[in-house]
Amino acid sequence: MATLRLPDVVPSPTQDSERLRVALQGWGVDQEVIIWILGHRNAVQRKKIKETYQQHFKESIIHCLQSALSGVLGKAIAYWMEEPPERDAKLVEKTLKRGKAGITQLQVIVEIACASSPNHLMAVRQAYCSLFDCSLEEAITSKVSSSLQKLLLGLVSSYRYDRELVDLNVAKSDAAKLHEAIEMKQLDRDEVMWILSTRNFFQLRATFEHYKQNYQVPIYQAIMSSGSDDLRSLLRVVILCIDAPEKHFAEVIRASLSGHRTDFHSLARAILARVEIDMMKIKEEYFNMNKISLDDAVVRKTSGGYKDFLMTLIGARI
Amino acid sequence: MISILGKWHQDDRKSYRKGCPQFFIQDDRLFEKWDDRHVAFLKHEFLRLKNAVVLWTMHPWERDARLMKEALVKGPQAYGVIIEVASTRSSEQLLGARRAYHSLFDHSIEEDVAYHINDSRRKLLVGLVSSYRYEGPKVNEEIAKSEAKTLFAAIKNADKKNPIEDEEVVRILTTRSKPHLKVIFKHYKEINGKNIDEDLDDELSLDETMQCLCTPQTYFSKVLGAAFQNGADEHAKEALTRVIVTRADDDMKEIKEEYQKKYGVSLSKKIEDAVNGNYKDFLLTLIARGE
Repeated sequence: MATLRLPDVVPSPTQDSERLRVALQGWGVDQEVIIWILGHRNAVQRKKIKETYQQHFKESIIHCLQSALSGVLGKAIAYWMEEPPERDAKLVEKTLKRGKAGITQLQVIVEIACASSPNHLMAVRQAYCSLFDCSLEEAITSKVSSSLQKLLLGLVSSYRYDRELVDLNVAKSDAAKLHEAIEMKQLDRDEVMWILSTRNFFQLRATFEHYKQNYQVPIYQAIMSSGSDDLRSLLRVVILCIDAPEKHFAEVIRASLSGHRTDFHSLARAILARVEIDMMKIKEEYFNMNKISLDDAVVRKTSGGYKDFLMTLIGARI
Repeated sequence: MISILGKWHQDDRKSYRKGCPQFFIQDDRLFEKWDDRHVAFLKHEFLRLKNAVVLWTMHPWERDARLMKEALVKGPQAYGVIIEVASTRSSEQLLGARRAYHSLFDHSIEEDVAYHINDSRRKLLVGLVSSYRYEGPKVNEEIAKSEAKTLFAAIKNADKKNPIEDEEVVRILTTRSKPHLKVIFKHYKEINGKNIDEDLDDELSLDETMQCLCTPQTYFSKVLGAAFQNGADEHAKEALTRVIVTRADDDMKEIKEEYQKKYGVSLSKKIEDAVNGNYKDFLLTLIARGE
């Protein structure tokens, strides 16, 4: 469930654009107003604001926000204002550009392929072609090591059926094939990739459930017990994103908040991506994992406008 | 035809029967009997027309989704249709077909291909139906050159490993843009002295895939040629309807030119000679569109 709070009466995009213009143009940029407005608008409303602002003031609101707000807050708000497919396409491009992409970087691609809707993934592929003059698959080919390439290519190429259709016989036979691949330590089999890439998400959850009941251990545990390499780590992320994305994102958030330096980018990415989807569940998971609420953790580890913005989004601040 | 036939009285119909001994045989029990072969023939012609009309009026996405499903159900000899649809359509057209497939069959096309195809073509076909290729002109020459070498090595190694199951070969064919592939094939010829399709005699599916991706008119005119051959089976003949209906709005002009070049006779003349009835008229009307 989402934590984004919308006002009972939403001002028109024109009213919002005008208020934002004033906040951006004044002597001191009025961060409060910007966070107050944008932190309480959903994706459709934000898009209308962007279009209206462009029409009225002949400038891109994202550019204005980036110039007016510095540092991590500016980046986070600009990120929040992007269209989700473009946002995610740019995120992948940045991730792949960084050089050697390890699991922590590649999990971003898995999140897009496995923790969001098939239509969103397709929109990201389309956006990637328009923005970067090559397909997402080609970008992965050039930057990802071959042991992980096959799995990632399969995952991003799929356009899964999006309704709840579960065949228990298929769950049984798919679970058996996965079990065999795990036992034989042949996790790079085509079949593993096809099952995880092409089945619809509801079917896969049924398959994982069947696996646990039949083989007495959750499948991701079975994979991790069978050895340790990059492929297994990536498979674990895949299964978690399909089966219990809230657990995955709670982990990403925990990792970004632990250690000396907060990883502002990963924290913002995880929160902004899920605020309108399942942030409430993520908060519950976070608490179960860490015995401290996400609200408290964010307050302790962040500050200023960036903190206010995140707190607004996760519903901890009016 | 309908307005004439529908107005005939009993006597008119009797005169028709008596006047057409090639269709009606005088029976000993004093009535004019339909020649069975001609009944079958008429049924067949009406069926072909019906199929053509239904296919023509369908939304192109539904059309492509149904063609691929039918090919899967028919079995290995029909899998070429999957290659054809997945490789000759634009990225957006293929995406539309995938959407329609969801609505019609409650599964994704790649799911069904992965689970129903059991031969060496499976990897290639899953990749082809899943592709969303970049369609701009930008090509990286260095990568194209290196991939030409990869293909060359895989083809030379064919006796040890079937190139159609080689992961790199499949990756190149299923993810690269069409302009990029054309540059690869150009470099291939430079390395090898021969065109890649000459080296792929034995691997029909790979050859067809490359043709569909880079020179679809050549592929389509070949398919049409096979449909007209003596002894062509039902599957080859059905291709006549499929190719003409699916390409009438796209590259029919280029296909006709290619056909003329290859067979020395115009496609319309061939259809005139080989096909009958309203079905023939329908096909001729379709291929004349845009002239």
